[in-house]
Amino acid sequence: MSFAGYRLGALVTASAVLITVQAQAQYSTHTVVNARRVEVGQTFLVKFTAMSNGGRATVTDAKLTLPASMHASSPSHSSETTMDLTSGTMNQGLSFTWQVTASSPGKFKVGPPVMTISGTRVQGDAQLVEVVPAGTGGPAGTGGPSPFDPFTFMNQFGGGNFLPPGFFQEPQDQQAAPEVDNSPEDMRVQQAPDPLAFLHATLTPKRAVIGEQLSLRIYAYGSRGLFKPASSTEPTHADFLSYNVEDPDGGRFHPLNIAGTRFLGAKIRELALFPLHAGTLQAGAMKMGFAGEGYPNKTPTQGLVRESNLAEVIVSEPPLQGRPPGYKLGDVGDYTLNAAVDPRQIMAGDAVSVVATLSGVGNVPFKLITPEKTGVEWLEPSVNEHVEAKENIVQGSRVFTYVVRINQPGSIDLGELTLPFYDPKRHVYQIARAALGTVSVTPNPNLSKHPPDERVDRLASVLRLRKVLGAEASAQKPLGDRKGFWLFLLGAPLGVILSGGGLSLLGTLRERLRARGQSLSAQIELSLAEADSAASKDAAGTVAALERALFGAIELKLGLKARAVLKSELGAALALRGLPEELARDTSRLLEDCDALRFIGAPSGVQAKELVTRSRRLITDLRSAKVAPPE
Amino acid sequence: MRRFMQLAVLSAALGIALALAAQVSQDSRGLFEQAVAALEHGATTEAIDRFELLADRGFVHPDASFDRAAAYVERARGAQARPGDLGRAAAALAEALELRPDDREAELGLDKIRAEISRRHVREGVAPVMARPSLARAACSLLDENTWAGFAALGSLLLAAGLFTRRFLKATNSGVVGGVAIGVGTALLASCAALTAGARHFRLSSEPAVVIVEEARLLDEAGKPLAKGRGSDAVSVPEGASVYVLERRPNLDRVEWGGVEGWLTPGELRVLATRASL
Repeated sequence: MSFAGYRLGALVTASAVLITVQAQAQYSTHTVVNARRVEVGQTFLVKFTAMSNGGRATVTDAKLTLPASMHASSPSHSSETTMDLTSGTMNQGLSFTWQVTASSPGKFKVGPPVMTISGTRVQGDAQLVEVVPAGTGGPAGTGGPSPFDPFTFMNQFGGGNFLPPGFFQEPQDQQAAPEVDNSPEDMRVQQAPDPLAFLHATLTPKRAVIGEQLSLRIYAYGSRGLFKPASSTEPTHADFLSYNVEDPDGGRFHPLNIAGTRFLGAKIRELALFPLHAGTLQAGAMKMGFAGEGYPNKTPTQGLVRESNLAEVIVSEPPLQGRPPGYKLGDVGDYTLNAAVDPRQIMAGDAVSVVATLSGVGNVPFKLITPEKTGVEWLEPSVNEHVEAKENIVQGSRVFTYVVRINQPGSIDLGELTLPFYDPKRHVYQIARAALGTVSVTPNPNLSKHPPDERVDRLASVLRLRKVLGAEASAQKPLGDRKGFWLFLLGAPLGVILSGGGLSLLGTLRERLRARGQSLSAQIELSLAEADSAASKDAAGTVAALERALFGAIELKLGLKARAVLKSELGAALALRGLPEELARDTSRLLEDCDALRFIGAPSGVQAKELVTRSRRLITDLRSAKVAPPE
Repeated sequence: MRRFMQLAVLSAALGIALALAAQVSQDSRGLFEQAVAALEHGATTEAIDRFELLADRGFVHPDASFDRAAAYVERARGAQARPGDLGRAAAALAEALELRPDDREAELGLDKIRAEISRRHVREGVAPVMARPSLARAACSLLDENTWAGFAALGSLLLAAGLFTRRFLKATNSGVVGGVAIGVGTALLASCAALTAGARHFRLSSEPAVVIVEEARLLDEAGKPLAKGRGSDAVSVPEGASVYVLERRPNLDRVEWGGVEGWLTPGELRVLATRASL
């Protein structure tokens, strides 16, 4: 079969893939398939790797040429870094992996794959694959260990016997597993907290109700190849009830690319947890020592010790809406209840056996609600349980065996056993019920001979049942919470004090004002103002006001009641008291002019306004005059 | 038009809220009646389940609390008695008294239940332990907070009146009368305002609760039993005892029992509804 026989149209293109790798003109390439012989319809993998020790470059294209009878998926890609121990150089590589499916039998040439790196076309080798009819033989040998098998170097340790059996031991079919990131979703992390090794705990779901199952998974990651646990402590989970989960995938290594570094990851612990109370609860904190060739350790027994993160979950109570009476917090899951009663015929005072089986998914509750009937006494049950985690889900059953004593004769309907629970998947409350039917009880003549209970019942009729609701409790509105209350406490006396003080102050002010209003200076000013206003219309009034002002000024200055002195003698009297003679003369003259205006009026030639002006000037001079001491 | 629409939406929302509130109230009353009927028929556990569901739904009523206590007492008297029934009955009665302080029947019932708990402890060889509240709490709880507040207001008024009399009235004996009023008013105001503030502080910083297990061992913050003293036994709070919850954490509650402070697990306590919390 010639190459021309293959359809070029079967080229598979990885379009729009832009990946930056360390590259240069020199590349080494590897092309591998994970099976040389496959059945029709079976998928096999083709991986093409280009390695370089050079600078940065961009991959723009990757193609795989296929025969017409084959088709492939879009390629997945990954980058990797390796170290050449002989030269000490770091090699950067980029791999593309295609999943190819053959639709007809025959021997086919697959490839060659082609990659375009920074404009340089890099080509791998074509591989020969035999496709056989379906059912005639599975995948045949890969022709030795796969060059991209992450576990190949296990053989360095003696054929893979390095690890204890069953733990961290990759299964045989993984020997040829391609380096594709087929790790569980839960295992993938964005960042490696430690470049060498670390533990990572996950707790799912992130929100739950009390009693709902959560999964705590602890994963170990190592970047130095395979490892085994040298020492470990159990993850903390004080706020949870736990069940150990046996996971068939536990301990199996998965290659992962974490932020450009290749790690091997494995699940090392899985627990089914049931939160015991509401709140933000934490679990995780597990320590493990990594032991292996590339993992430095302080002591051989401890290994390279790493501790996992604390994983959180927000736990709340199931909703109050629709909650049935008798529901106990934590009764969460999905349950069915069956019960059998034996015998169905007894004598009064005898007992029947009720065997109830509660089964379902969840942490099967420990208690059922028993019916309450007069004359029927339920004793504490014995409980057998079989609860375990199957396929990561805790499930099972509890068998409750009750002894039920019936003292009342007749056909007694035992009622039904019930268990209210919350179904977190449907978000509803449900009630598991088991009807118990009737028991025929024949009278027992000896029953009445039983001695009565002679215990003193001090609690009898202590509380009489209240059949109707009385007045509701009035909501207390504490006065102490009101700012106004505290303001009032201080404000009332303080208000009186302030009022008293204010009134006193007001009185003082008023007094002072009054005193001020009665002072000579004030009177002088007042009289002058009156004279001023009366000057144009009332000559007599003007004169009277001016005289008051002048006499006041004299009294203020000299302490002399000038009204009692004859005006003709006033000048001498003023001079005698130390007033400058000129000022004394002016004063006397002004007073005479006042008299002239008063008695003669305008014909006197004295103008009222002029008189006011002179008076003002004189009074000013009087107040500022230096008085000589009397001789 | 827009305003009309807003008004219509607001009215509709208010109507729905009122209807829902009425429905919840109706449901709660129906549940109460079912619980009472169950108790009358001797189905004490069924009655308790219903009363507890009422409480879980936030239905607070002194008579519902009283009947819950009656249901627990009935079960404690019968063959189906469970540990802690009397403690729960005491808690329910204490709650009834918190909600209706003048309920004499609840008060007498609480005394009898606590006496019965003590009697049972003595019968089992456990000496009853009494814990007196701290002096400050005892003083503040002598009267209702609002009563203290009322007296403080009275003191304030008296002081103000005294000051007024002395300052403004000119009668011959106004000085004496004012002086007496000032003295009495100041004393009343200072003491009652302090007690009001204290009662308010205790109300805001603690919640009343009752121990509902047969014996609650006081723990330290790390969850280890609190020792009475060197080499002595751990401190245990008896069933039905009143404590005050000072702090709540997911796994432990800090409580004050008498003059002792310690930690108890939330399951050992029943925090009471109060009128202030309504």
